[in-house]
Amino acid sequence: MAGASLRLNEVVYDPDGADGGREFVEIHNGGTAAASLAGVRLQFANGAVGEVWEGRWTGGPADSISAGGVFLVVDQGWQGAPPDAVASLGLQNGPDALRLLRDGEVLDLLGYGDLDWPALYEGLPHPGAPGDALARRPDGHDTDRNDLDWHVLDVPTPGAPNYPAFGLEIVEVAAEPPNLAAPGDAVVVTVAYRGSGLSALPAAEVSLRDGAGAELAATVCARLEPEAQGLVVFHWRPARRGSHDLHLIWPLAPPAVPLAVPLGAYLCDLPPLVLTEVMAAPASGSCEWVEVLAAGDAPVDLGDHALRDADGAARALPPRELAPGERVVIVQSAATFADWCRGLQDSGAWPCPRVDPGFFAEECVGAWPTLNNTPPAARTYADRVHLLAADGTVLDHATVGWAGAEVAAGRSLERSGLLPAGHGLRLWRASTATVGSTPGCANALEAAPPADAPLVVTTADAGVRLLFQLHMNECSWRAVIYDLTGMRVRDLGGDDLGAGPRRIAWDGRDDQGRALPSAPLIALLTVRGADGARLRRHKALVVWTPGDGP
Amino acid sequence: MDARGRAVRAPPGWLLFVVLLLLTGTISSSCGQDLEEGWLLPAVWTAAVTADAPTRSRAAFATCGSGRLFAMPELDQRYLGFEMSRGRIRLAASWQILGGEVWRERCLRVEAGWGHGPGVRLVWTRRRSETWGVPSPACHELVPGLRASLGAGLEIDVLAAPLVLGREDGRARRRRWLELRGRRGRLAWALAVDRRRVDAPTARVALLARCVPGLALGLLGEPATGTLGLTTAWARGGLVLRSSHLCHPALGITHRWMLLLGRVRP
Repeated sequence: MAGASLRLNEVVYDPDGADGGREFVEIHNGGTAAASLAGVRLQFANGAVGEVWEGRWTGGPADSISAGGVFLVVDQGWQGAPPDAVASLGLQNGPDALRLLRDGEVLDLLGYGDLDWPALYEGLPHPGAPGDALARRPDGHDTDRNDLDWHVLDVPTPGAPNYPAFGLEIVEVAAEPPNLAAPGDAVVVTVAYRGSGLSALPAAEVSLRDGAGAELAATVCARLEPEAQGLVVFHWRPARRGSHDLHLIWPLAPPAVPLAVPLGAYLCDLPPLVLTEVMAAPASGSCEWVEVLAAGDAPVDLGDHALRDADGAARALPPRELAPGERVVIVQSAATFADWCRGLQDSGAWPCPRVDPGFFAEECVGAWPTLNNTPPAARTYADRVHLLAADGTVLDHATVGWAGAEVAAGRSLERSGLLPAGHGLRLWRASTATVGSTPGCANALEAAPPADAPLVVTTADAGVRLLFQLHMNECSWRAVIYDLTGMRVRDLGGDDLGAGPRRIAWDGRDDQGRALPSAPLIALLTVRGADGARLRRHKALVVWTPGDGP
Repeated sequence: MDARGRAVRAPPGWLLFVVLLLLTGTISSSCGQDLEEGWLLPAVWTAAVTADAPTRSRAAFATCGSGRLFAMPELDQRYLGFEMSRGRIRLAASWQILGGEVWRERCLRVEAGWGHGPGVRLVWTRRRSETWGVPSPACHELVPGLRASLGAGLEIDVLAAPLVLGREDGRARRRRWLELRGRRGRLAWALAVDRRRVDAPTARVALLARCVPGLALGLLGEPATGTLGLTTAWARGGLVLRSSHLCHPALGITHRWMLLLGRVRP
């Protein structure tokens, strides 16, 4: 059989969903001249029955394959790549066998699944690939061992080469820290990869680039043999706010084009949903929980997000629309949490407004990602909570149990503000609340005014935003934009909703709705108490540029 | 009478009326928030009133100053300039930096004038701003103007629309339309009318009075913003130190200082 040039090359016998119209068999010509397929028969055998071959397709006089080319036989109802022949394939889902036959000579044979009949396979049968494709690597490669010659291909390639000459498969991507709320800090991006092409990748300066093609970091990588694994570490300092679509670029000598492999998105901005409190070591009678806050200026659907700890899989959050500024507590057990809350409320020790926990507590849809309280041997922190977007992008994270952030049992880790308050202060600290935590209401740490940056102005692509927070004794705020001559440009209004973070968007228009030209402006924030007395006032420079607007 | 004892002839009233009509609705510009906005009265007028010298005199002096808009460290001002006038010719130049690390604007202003009853002015301004250290293209403006003496110590400046040379940065800034000032004895006053990009004209008014020889106090107000403040001037020999302390009802106080070194003589 090794002398023949026609081979079965790729087979999908059990596609995802309905099989009809999605099955195909690809035939390869490994010879140096074109081969006629006249009289070549494709036969199928049911492994449960034995060596009983049923015809599926027979080549006509006009059917042929060029040297090195492929011939695609597809099932009726096929919607994919242009086929060379259509037949009623009706392949079963294994254990079964396929063979190519001409004039009684078996040109090739593929057996897959747990077959008992040696006549239905070469060497040993392949275990099978339900939902995927079986493919030779490289095209036409045949050592008469089905178990070794055939590989599982996640993405079928009907009518095209099974494997590219150069390929790179990402095994794992890790960023430290997993996200940033604002530019400034350095990010270490570690990428584990594997050569998935047929040829070795040459040693090259590999770069990390964003979606626009701008180089963010680069480093030299050694030659990578096919199937070999490698690791590259990039040090990158985000220069702008927003989501960065990261790509790993591996240059190749022309005419080959450089490999560009997507690594996912990295967020360097305040997300619309943030983590605000984590209870990793609950007191007796309570359970683990995580508090999240809708920090943007638009409603957020909790169900579009997921939670993940450092070791586990993502757990979907329940669907619930959160209004801007609304907090929700994701709990390990709703019943246990409710009992604990009501006990504290009845005792009078509850630090928050008395609200039934059923209004602000939600259980995870899947199993709870149980949090470690002591660091395992492989890392310096006990655990980490990741808040994920629907596409898996890390929106926010909180690290518990690392040196300097040990949290006693019954005490939560609280976020002290939306952004780090200063270089000397950490964003996350142990709660100072009397009962150890403040689930469902403003954090105890938010009562302490940050050391600096009480009014933060951002002018990123998403527009101009004013970020600030009202503390415990503060009731209302008002923000006004002035030009440098002191003339009022825009009254942004305010609210009297009490303590909590605010994130105010400005569209760059004045009070009459006219778009302002590029100009430095002054934002003035005035915060008042419940009696209307002015408690504090902050000014910040706004460098407004048309195009920043939402 | 002028400084040389010649009679000053006021321009015909119909001429001024025609000029003002032609220029109605036009605007001119200066640096964004000039340090001199803190006094409104020109430096030579402040020096003359404080030192009891004739307003229109031969003068040659250098100036330097600083300020901080609304007590914001991000809006520091630094100013250097000189001015000289001799006969019918007047030349002035200034260099100003406004802003800080986040945003900064550098402004060079050169002014030349000829004649004073009536006379012409030409002001060339070059501005360049940078945000987070990233510079924007420079903006050049050329502003022609007219200056006329109205008699009885009154003087008026009318500035035309700026001719933008190169890139217009589109920034809304204080754009001077006309200035009217007068002096009687130990008292000087100024009225400036500004046009912003689309808003109605806004007026500013300043008053300066010599209390004792070498010391003058003044007031400055802008009804549109509610700004009101105090100005001072102290003269000794060829040195004049003037300060301005303007209080905005919401944004707070703007302090400015300016030192004049030179001579103002009949």
